Amino acid sequence: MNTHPRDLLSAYADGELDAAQTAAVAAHLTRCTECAREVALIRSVGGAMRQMINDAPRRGVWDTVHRRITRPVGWTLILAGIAIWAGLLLVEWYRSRALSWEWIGGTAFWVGAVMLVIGVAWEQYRDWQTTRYKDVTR
Amino acid sequence: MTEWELIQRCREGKTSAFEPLVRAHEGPALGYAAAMLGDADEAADALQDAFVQAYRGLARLRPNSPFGPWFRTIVRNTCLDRLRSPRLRQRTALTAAALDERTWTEPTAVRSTESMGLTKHLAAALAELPDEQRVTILLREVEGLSYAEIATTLGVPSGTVASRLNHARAALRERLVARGLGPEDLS
Repeated sequence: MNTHPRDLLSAYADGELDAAQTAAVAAHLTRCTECAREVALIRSVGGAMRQMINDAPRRGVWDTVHRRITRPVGWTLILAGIAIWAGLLLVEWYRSRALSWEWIGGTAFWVGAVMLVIGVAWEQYRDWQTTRYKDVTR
Repeated sequence: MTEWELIQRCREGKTSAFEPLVRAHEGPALGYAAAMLGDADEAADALQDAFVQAYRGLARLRPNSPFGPWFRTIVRNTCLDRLRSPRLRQRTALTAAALDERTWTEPTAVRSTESMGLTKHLAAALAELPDEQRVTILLREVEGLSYAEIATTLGVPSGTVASRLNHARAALRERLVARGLGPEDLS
């Protein structure tokens, strides 16, 4: 190989040439400092790129990721509350065959209040569970 | 607690067990995403998506498999999807000006000024490459994929991979030289 095998240097540095081409390029590199420097440069840039990636600073994405992977309980509680309320209405209707607006409104209020308390308690529990300072004592 | 024990706790629904995994992998993953996408904010969004996908897909991870390489594949696919989306292509003509330097210029304790300068120049030079060259060289240099694996990932022939790498390396060298960096700065 008398001419500079410039088109093969990249694949040579990556170990992607076949045996015959690898041997030919390797033999050329022993005689040609220009091409040897080129291969060294390819490897150096690759190393610098890997170091650049590995040294990249963190941005602190955990809070956002955590919010997204934790299923919000709000909708679950609303649906559960509606189901419980409808169930209570059915039972009451079956029992007395009459429903007053006062009873319907009162039941909705109390079911909603209980669901709200459960929701707040759940959020508090979840916050406590995930705080990184929970095991720290004075 | 080992990485696999954390993964098992995540599978049991303990979301807090995912935090150490996120903290351990977010730096390099963000660097990779920023290099792929050439935009720090887009990279941060992609990274969040990748972590959420990873959390939901932990059940697919084979027992005792390392999290890092598996997660990097998810980051790569997330970035490739974003690069294919018309929204990103319209938003970012990937030039040095478009590169948000915040990703690379926030200091860390161990990095020297010189290496930060090199990192900044390299990041800017990478961002100036056409998408297909930048992605190809990152798949090769950062992930260490073979030409055949890159060809499969990108859906192009192996010869195209070799040609893109040739062009990408020549273009990178030109851009680094234009920024006043010589071979001695990189070795």
